Amino acid sequence: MGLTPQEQQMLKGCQNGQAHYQQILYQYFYGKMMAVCLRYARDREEAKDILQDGYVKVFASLSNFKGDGSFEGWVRRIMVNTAINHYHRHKKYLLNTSIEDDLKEEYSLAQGFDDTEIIQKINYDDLLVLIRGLPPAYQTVFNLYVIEGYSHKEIGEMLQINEGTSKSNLAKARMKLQKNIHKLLEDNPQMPCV
Amino acid sequence: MSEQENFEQHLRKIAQAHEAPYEPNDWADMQNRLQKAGLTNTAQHSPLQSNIVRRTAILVALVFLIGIKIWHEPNSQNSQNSQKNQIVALHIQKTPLQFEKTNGKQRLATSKTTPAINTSTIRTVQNVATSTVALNKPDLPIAMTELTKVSNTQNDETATPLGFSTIEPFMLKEVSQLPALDTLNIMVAEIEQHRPKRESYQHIAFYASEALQSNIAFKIGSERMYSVFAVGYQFSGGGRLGIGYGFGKELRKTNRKSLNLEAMCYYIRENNASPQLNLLTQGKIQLHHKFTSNLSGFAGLSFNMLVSDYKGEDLVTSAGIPDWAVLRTSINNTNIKCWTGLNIGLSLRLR
Repeated sequence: MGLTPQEQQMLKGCQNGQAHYQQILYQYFYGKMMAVCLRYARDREEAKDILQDGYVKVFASLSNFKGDGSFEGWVRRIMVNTAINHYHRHKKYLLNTSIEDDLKEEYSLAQGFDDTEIIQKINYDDLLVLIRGLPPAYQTVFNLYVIEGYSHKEIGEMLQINEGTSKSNLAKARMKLQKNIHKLLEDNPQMPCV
Repeated sequence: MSEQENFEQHLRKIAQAHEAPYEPNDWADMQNRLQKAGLTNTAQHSPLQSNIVRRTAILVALVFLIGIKIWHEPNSQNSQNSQKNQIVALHIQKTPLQFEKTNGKQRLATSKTTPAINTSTIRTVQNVATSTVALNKPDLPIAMTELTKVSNTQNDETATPLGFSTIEPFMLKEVSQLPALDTLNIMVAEIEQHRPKRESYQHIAFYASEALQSNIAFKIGSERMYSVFAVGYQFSGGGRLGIGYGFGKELRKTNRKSLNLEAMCYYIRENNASPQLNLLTQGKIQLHHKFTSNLSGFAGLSFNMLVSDYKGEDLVTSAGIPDWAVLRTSINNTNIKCWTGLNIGLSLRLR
């Protein structure tokens, strides 16, 4: 996919280090990229840190973009990689909840994703609540596999885990997610309009 | 598709469709990070653009110099051509001459003679100025060349010349070698200076420029200063309407060619956009060539500055008028662009 004339102009200006074009590029992708970062972070401040680090990488490596693919996709990959680096840097400080016991109970709670009406009415804020309710390792794998569409092999390489662990984490993330949905329903009887 | 896949597809859809609201403060933080990382250029210009800026500056200087030259030449010609002098009255004024001895030589006492010569009056009725000119008696050839100068007011030292030189007080010193005379007869002429009445300037112009493709302008006033009311429209880029006002001046060089200077300010309304700050300021210099007495063609340069809060879908100010702006900057989210442009068109004289 080629670049649009506006993207070409923006890229040229950014490669020359012009603040005006840097601001345009920043604003241009801010909304979408912040949405990506919010899904990988625990709160907005953390998401902003990831976003800013990601943008610095984008501006620093613009010359590496060959223009043979989607520019937005390229920026998004940098953001996701930055989020993963952020995860690696901070994982030792993240709360390591023991969920193995919970999962035994959750298997019995899991009723499957069978309520189409509820599913269709989950909005982005609900999604954030649900994803952030997952332990960091599960949250990252769920984001990468379900939202971004990476394969388990790619996720294994990105997170430096083996493919099986990725699959296992995804399965556990799904079960935890089901539990969180039920919790959400119990806390908000008016659901699906949470 | 299973319920789970359906659910996850829905999550993917809402996640990818979502855009977080923009926070301007985050950009300020980003700027600091970029400056620390040495990734932003505070000079704002690439070497290529700096080169363009230099070339534009040279071009502007050249146009300015040519403009000054053309300004100077026609004005000096105009001052001679436009003022027609006519002697309307002549009379002889007897001026007593007094001589004084200096270092054993007899010289003309200028203090006694010059006031009489310098006596003159001026009156202005509408476009006619009448002044008195002093001429010497024709049979005194030596003094003649000097006495044919004119004074417009009684006091030469502070007089404002009205197209002539003022009398020099010492001018009669040189007549000391003339035969001793008691009285110098001086011919005084009253001269009417006819200044042509300024013609009204009413033109309608049709022209194209890079900022607005099709324009119509009505110009009214005089050659020295006229007002310009203009409307322009650009069909490409989603449409753009410009409504402008300005003023101009015609500098005539020859009967067929003239140079016009104009200063304009347009409000630019982008289609499908709510009204907001979007001002285009232009300085224009145009060379006009008359095809007939009422029709002329013109072409020229414009120096443009666009100050705008408007951002198109591509976030480029005013949908990118034009692509070759030599300066782009942003101050408090207000975009400023400067560039050099062209305009070409036809002008029809109405009166």
